[in-house]
Amino acid sequence: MGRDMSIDYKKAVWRNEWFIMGVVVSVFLILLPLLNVLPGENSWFWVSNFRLNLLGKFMALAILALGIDLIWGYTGILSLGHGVFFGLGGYCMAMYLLLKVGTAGHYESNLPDFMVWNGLTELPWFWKPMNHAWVVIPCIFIVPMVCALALGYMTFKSRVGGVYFSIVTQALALVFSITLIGQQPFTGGTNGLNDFRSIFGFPLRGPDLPKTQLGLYVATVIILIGVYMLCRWITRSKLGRVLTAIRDDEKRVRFSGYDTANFRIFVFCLSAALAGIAGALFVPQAEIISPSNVGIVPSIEMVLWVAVGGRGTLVGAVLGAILVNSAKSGLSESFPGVWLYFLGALFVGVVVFFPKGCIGLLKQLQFRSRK
Amino acid sequence: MKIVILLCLMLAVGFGNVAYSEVPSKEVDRLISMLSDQDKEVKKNAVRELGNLEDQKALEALNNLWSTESDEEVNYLIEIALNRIKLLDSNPAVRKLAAEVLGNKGEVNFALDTFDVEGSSLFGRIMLGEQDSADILSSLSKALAMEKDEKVKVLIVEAIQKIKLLDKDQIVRKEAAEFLGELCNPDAIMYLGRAQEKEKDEEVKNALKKTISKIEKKQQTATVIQQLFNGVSVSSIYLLIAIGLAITFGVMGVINMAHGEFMMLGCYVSYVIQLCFKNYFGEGFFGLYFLVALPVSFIVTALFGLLLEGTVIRLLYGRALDTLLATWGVSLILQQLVRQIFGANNVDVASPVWLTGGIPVMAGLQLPYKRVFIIGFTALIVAGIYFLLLRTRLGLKIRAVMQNRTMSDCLGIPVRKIDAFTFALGSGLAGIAGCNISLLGSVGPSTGQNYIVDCFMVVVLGGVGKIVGSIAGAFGMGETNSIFEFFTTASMGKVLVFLLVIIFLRFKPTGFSATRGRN
Repeated sequence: MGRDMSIDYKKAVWRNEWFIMGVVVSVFLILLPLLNVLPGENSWFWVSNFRLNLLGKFMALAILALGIDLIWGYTGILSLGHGVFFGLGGYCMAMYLLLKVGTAGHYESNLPDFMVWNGLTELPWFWKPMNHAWVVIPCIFIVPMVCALALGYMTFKSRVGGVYFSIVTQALALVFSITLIGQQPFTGGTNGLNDFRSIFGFPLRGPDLPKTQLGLYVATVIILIGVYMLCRWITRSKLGRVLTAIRDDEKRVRFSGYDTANFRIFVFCLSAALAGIAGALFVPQAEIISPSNVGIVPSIEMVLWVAVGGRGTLVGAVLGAILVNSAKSGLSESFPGVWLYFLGALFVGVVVFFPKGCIGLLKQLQFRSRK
Repeated sequence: MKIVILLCLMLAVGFGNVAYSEVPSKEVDRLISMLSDQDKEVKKNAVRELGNLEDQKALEALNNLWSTESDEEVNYLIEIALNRIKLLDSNPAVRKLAAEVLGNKGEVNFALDTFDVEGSSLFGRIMLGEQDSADILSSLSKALAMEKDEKVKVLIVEAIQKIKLLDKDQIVRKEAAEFLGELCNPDAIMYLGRAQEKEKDEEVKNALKKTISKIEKKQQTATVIQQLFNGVSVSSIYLLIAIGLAITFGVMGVINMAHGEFMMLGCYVSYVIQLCFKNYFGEGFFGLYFLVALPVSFIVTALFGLLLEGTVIRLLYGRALDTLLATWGVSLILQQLVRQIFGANNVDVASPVWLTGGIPVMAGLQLPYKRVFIIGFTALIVAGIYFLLLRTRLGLKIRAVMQNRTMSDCLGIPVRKIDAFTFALGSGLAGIAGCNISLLGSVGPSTGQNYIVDCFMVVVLGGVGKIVGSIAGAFGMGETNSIFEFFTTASMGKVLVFLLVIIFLRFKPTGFSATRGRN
């Protein structure tokens, strides 16, 4: 029975999670960059700069998906405002990048171009510290965390949860994008912040751009692995067990003597920080951040990534972010009309028919083949 | 020359009292031919006299000249002549405008010197001469005698007083200033301000000052009333949309993200029915389309609601967050569907004639019928819902399911049917809300999204279970919103309202009212 034996062999490898992790990591961290650098441009094996950059963006979004998985998949809190935290991190980074343009801009002024255009003569106070990398890098996750702490304290402490919390966070996303658009002289309005020149001294335009992008890709993958390990550690610790328990029966956990509000605030802040990091990694690769990246619609799409991949599994979150965004960049450019139908159907289909997402489907298949 | 005109006038009177008097066409033709004269003075005189003739042909000739003439002075005179003739138009709107324009013609006199820095500005070189103001006054008083429309009459009187402010005699000026104070039109405030600046006589100056402060005071009251009314109007729209949400959420614990899109469907149903009436029925029936659109939009969206409940929501009971995501997907599909059928651009729904205009409360303040209608309609709907829930058997069953699902099921209430009915009711209410909103402006595929987040906040603020909570929530949101918007900007207003809601939830997490259930 050669067929059965092969299944047993697969099963043995499947069980060895670390082996699979190693393979996946080496493919994304070593093989793909090598395939980008080594073969010629016409070679069949060549991974083009465009594809690598795209994948880099998706990896950044996967970090965000991990954060959403922590709060939604593990703790059962649906936040529809993660675009805000993503945006806060992203805008912090974009402010730094724009200030580093210096006087090389179109108007040859110290101020970013859009401020000159809007008639500002002096840098607003909250832009001033963003000129220093040692301020910006902590800001990327501290600003979203503080914001999440304030909102989390106001809601979780008075036991606002469930759908109420979702609606409040959605309103937060609306208010955030309205503010960005309304305060055009300080935020760039609908156009957002773009036209960056360099990041930490590496050029973001010109012939050396692919090299910078490769560097950003590798950095993003490394950070993603780090975040994944952190999330893995959290979900398997006692803390993670409490979080899952809150998801399954919040009242029982509360009656067992845990202050569930604190746990919720903690996980909200953590996932906001991850979203901020994701935003900061996304901006130099996408070379733009605008209100259309952070409003209601993108925020709820972020939840969909996790739902498609499989909530409550970390691999699922990463997988979902990459899958949905690949489909989006493939479909939405060639058939924009079809994409929205597809997206709508995906929301309905995943929730109704595959609530466990791709990972759940795979597990089911595996279970069946074992039988 | 003057004798000729006099003759013409007498002839005109002789031909009877029609709006446009019959003037010997020879005279008109002669004057019109003078319009193309090279000499500016000849031209100016011709324009003035054409203004006296009040003839349709003269109107055309002046209009033609106006579009080609480059000399500002001549243009200024043409405008006076044109509007003098227009004072006799059969359309009251045209007469109104003409009176307003004529009244403000003297403004250039106040602006003399002030704008003359460049030496090229219109105000610097032109002024309303004595002859011209006398001409205007005579036209205005003639028009006043013939006028029957009260609104136009008031405007003509005001125009006469405005011109009289330019009189040489200070007693006439003072009387005019006091008269304008009686009229109290806020539109005149700029004009009066300029007049006050230039006035040399102390007594007249004081009279003008009094008049201005009187108008300003009245304007302030008008703004306050306007803001309060706007707040009530916005609240009633919130309430109309949110009441459907409150019902579905209250009974089934389902947050329907497609509620906004149901509302948008209601808008488009209203649009389609309006098109049908325009194309297949006569002009006379057009006003009735809205009365048809109200029930049809309710039925159509209620059917959509039934469909959604039967296919998607039924499978997700007890999983509120999942329902939220699934209905979001449905909303995307509905939006795209509408976008493909009707196009991505907004469409205009022409409101019925009986809803245009408004209730004039005071000068400068009008409450539009549409908004008053929506407020009244919302009150009617709320009363209807109350009656349904509290006074009928069906309402009793709905409340029973809301309070204890399992027990209701045990007692033989068809829980599933009640669910389906409640959801259809909530969706139908969204459709009716959309139908009403189509009165307020153009509608597009994303109309629903513009309202929905605010309405969810209303439900959160109001608390689940009692409609009275939603009413309080809607009015709280609407009034604070319009107050904040008045004192800051629209975007800052939204931010402040959001912060207030968050703070409110910290201290009253269940909203304004909530039934204490067992779950």
